[in-house]
Amino acid sequence: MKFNQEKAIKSLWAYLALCLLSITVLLPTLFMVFGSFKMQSEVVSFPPKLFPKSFFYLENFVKAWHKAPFGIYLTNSVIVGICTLLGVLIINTFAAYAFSHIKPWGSKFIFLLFMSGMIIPPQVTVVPRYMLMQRFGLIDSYAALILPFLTYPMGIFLLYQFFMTVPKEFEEAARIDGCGPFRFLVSILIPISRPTISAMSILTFVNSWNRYMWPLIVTNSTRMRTAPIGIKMFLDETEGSHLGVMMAGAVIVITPVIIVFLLGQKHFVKALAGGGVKG
Amino acid sequence: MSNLLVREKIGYSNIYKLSGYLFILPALFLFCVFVIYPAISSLYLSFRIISPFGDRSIFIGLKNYINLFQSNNYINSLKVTGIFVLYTVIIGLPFSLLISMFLNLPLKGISGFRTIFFLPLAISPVMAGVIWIFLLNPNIGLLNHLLSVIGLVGPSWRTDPNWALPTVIIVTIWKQLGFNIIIFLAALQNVPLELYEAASIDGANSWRKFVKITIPLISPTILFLTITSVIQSFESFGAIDVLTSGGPANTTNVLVYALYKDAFVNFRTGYASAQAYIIFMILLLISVFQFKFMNKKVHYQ
Repeated sequence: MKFNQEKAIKSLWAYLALCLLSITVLLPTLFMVFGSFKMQSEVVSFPPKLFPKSFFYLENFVKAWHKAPFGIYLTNSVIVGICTLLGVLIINTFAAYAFSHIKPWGSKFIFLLFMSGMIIPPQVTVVPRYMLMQRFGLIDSYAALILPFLTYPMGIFLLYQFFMTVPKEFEEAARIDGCGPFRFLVSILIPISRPTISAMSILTFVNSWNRYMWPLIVTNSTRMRTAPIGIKMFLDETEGSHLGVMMAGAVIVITPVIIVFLLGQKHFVKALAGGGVKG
Repeated sequence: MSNLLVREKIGYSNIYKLSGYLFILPALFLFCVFVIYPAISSLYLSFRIISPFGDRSIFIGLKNYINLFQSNNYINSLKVTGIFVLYTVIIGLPFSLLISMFLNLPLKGISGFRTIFFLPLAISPVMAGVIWIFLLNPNIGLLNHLLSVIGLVGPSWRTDPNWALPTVIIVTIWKQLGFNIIIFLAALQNVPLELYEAASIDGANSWRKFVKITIPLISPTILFLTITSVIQSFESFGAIDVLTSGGPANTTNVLVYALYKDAFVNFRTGYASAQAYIIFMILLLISVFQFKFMNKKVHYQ
């Protein structure tokens, strides 16, 4: 009995600490989300309050939506994300398959080249990459936003590791049945490596969605901006004016991400942590 | 008949091997164009001075590097980066570990709490910066009001030269929480419960159990996260751009931000390329250090 009581008190303290920590971590987000529902008079009133008077005051969202083309920004991010994802999947599964199964002469060397390329940080290559884009006239195009990120050495590595676990005999048996290397990859290897591929897809899409420095450099028109650049420009343009509208703009950009995260949290966590954590 | 079969087999296997190059080609081509060539080109450019439109350039040897190390601004950037990285890691990791230990308790509704702490994971560095702008606003933000309630006068975070760097550090720690907590939690879940039970029987208190069991068993994870968060903080750009743009008075002008400004605002391509290689060398050193350290000092199960 006494033991149980002690345990209950202990978990009560733990709950208290967790609530306090949760509020601290959530506070910036909550303040912004609640702020987007505040009228100008509420925003500037002193002392500042966390909660708005009403959650049905949507004027800020309407104004933000009219002030900046958030629809275009979000669409651009989705287009770039999906194209990058498709390209990454095709190009890197092909390469990983050749490295793990076909192994043509010299492939070991090329594989090592990819792996050592992982240590080159993107900041090192950004200036010449920009000059290349300029030379090809690709500044301010989807191609500039997508092409540099299609080879994904980490993805090649993950797939390579998984493909290596598939015995060589599989392919030989398939070949006797008249199945060529392309068909073997598409109809056998890829379906059985679904967990690896889905983790890779999530990482690729998230990286693409969050990318900032490169799109900032290679886009210069409104119709090409992705969501992170769009929100930054929006804030610069509205700086100092109506904070409620600024917060509404930020909420518009962040809401799709949070919804997607909450829906796919399990997969998300698994992809990032490589399994082992229960949500 | 059998000869024919052998010949066919050789023919097939040659075609098969050759098809391998086709499979590698797209990845290799793009990799050469967007990684290998720029990496070499960057080194080449770092020895030159280039006109703003890139049409003329002159070889100047190590002059760009020498200028950098003689520039007070660049020395300042090195210092700022060092402080920034050090504090995000030294404060961020223990804080993440503390939260992970709470999240590892067998409590009802714990998965709801986990979702809350995983959330910063979904938010990009830029959005993290944006989110904090409002809370930190000296006039309408809640934070300074809360500080005034306990009798403190909050600074004007982003524009105060003394507070801009701490501001960026706080936001970066917050942004990295999600990832750090997930990885720590995975490690904590792998520590066998029997060890704690055995220690309890021996009369060990919680602190002793933490120091003698938890820390040694999760040490590979601690090292892994130290390295990843050092590299991530080192490469920070988005949050800094949104919060302070490297200012005020260069107090948050980290190396990556300085590179960006010299390359794409001041158009000093050669000078920026030299900075790129200095960044590369520093990151390379960190990787080498990690590789050496990882094999020696860490306890593996």
